[in-house]
Amino acid sequence: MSDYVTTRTLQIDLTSDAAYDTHWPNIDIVINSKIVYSGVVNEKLLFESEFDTYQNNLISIVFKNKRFGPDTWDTIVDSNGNIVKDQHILVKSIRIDECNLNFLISKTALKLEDGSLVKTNGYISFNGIYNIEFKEPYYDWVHTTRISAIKFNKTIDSSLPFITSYVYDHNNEIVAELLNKMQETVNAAKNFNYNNSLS
Amino acid sequence: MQQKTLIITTPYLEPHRPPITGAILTQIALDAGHTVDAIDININLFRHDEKLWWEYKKKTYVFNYGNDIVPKFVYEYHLTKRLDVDWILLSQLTHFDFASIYDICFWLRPRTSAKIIVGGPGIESPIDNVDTCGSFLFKKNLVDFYIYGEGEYVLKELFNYNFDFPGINGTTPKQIDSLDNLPLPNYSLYNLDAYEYPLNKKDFYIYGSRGCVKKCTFCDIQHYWPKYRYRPGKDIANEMIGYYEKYGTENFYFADSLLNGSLKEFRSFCEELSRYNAAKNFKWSGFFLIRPKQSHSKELFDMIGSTGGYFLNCGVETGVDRIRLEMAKGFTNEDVDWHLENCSNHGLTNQFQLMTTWPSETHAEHKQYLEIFKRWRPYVADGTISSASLNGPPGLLDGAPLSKDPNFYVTDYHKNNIASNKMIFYMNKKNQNYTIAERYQRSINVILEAQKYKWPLDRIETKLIEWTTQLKEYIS
Repeated sequence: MSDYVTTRTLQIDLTSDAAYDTHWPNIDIVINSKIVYSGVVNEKLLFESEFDTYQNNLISIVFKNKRFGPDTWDTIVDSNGNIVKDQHILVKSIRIDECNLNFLISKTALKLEDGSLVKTNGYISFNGIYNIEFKEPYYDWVHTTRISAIKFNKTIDSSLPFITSYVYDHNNEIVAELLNKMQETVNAAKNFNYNNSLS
Repeated sequence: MQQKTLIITTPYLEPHRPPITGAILTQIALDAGHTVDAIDININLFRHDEKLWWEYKKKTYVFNYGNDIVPKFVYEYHLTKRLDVDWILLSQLTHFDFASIYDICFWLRPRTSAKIIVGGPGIESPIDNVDTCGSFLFKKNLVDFYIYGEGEYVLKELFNYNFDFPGINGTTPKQIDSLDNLPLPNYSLYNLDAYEYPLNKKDFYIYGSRGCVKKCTFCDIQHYWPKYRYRPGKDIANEMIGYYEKYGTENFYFADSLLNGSLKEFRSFCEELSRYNAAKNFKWSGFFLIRPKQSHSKELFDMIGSTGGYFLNCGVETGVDRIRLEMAKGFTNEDVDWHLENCSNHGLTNQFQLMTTWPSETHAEHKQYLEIFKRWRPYVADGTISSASLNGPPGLLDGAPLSKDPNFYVTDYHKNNIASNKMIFYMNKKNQNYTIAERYQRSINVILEAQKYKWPLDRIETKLIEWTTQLKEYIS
């Protein structure tokens, strides 16, 4: 593991359901290889913990006690095959420090015991590991990861800068060029004496 | 015989939503029993050729008027066959929209016998030391009537040939006491598929109030609308539901100065929406007043988050508490922290309106201001702050308290210049370091600091072109 970077605070908000009231989901929360929570989620869990960060970091939620037979099943279906009760956990929100990381919930897959990945949208109903990786510098990572999920209608070009930013992405080279032009004009204004210009 | 009215929306307004002013004028004329035709020249030009629209739009950055502000083929194509009417209604939103209003009046006058009426907040802006935009157009015989203040009752009287009603042709307008029974926007005459909707779904302007509960020193709203009036929250929610049921519209933008001016009605608005099942898919946005924690509880944010609150446009203006106090904004950086924390919890996005400097701002305060870009950077990273709109150094608007400050003066060089330059190129006796060059230098510093912490800057290209053009005007 690389060098210590800083200490941050993780908050995870989970809800859960069980097929049988005596058998709630049992999970581990693991941060950078340390188990920081191990126990059942009985309807809900608001987990909070400080932790050390490194350049690469891994937060895992490990779901491990769902039964798929042969005698007991933690998914109960009716005669038409519809699920009526299902043991699961639902990831409601994830925060690290001030940042809301909920945009990750729909992107993060569950790694099953056989190594395959399934999409969850935060609804975890199989035994497996739900991994969230992040890097330091943290805010840069949050920003880049979130922005990469945004689909702009168009990339802005020099002829269309009026339109609101949430429709267009900016072309930073154009902005830099315009900033240079403005700085040149400000420099000229600093040397400008309007009294002289009157004569 | 039934009278005919044509309502024209002129360039260069945002192309994101159908025009609320045109839609209100439509309903007023319909209520008067007229046959109504409405056209949005702005969106038609935008859809015809975005680049051309932009090229012409640039002409309005510096206060200007003439008859080359809109390409004439647009008028010829869209208007020529529609001019056989009794009334033509136009609205000027801001000072800078005068160019388009002058342009269209100049084109219309020889081509129609209709009575031309202009209104809107911009029509009261000064054009020189004598005239407002409205009186200037009237003296040039380009319009028959210009209306100050709110148009609903005035237009009704004008349509009945009562030309002496307060607000007509320079007379002092009377403010409307209650908004409860005013006509609602009627969008039925607009091509609703033409607009550049921000989220690619139908999006309408609505309004819930007029005027503002705050009396910010740089703002002139208190001059035009001295009394703050608001509609019942329940009515606003039901108006939105009505648009959803008629047009399928789920996204809304409040055109008000503040959507939460009256907390009581704002709560009632949220409660009403929460009772309508389909409203769970609504997204509503608008200007939002940040208040201290005692007024904006966690429970209020829960309510906003659960009823479709989406994008809040907040006048934060500066990073310095002393200056914000001087502006009479009434909240501190700590209150902004509380606001952002709660918005982040609910996934609400914010745009911050920021002035880049202030006439009494010292060098030390300028540096203090720059610190907010680091302080609120986490909320930029997670999208709670979706952008900042940098509005440059404040201008002296005629109706704003700031313009009455005896310490502000305009140099001889600019006294003879046009009105908008006096508004921009003023000096402060008490802060001689606040030179024209310095205030634009601070604007650049603000941009660079914001970029350092990855703040998205709304329409920054436009602002840079606009400020550079203004500054060139100063040294020319």
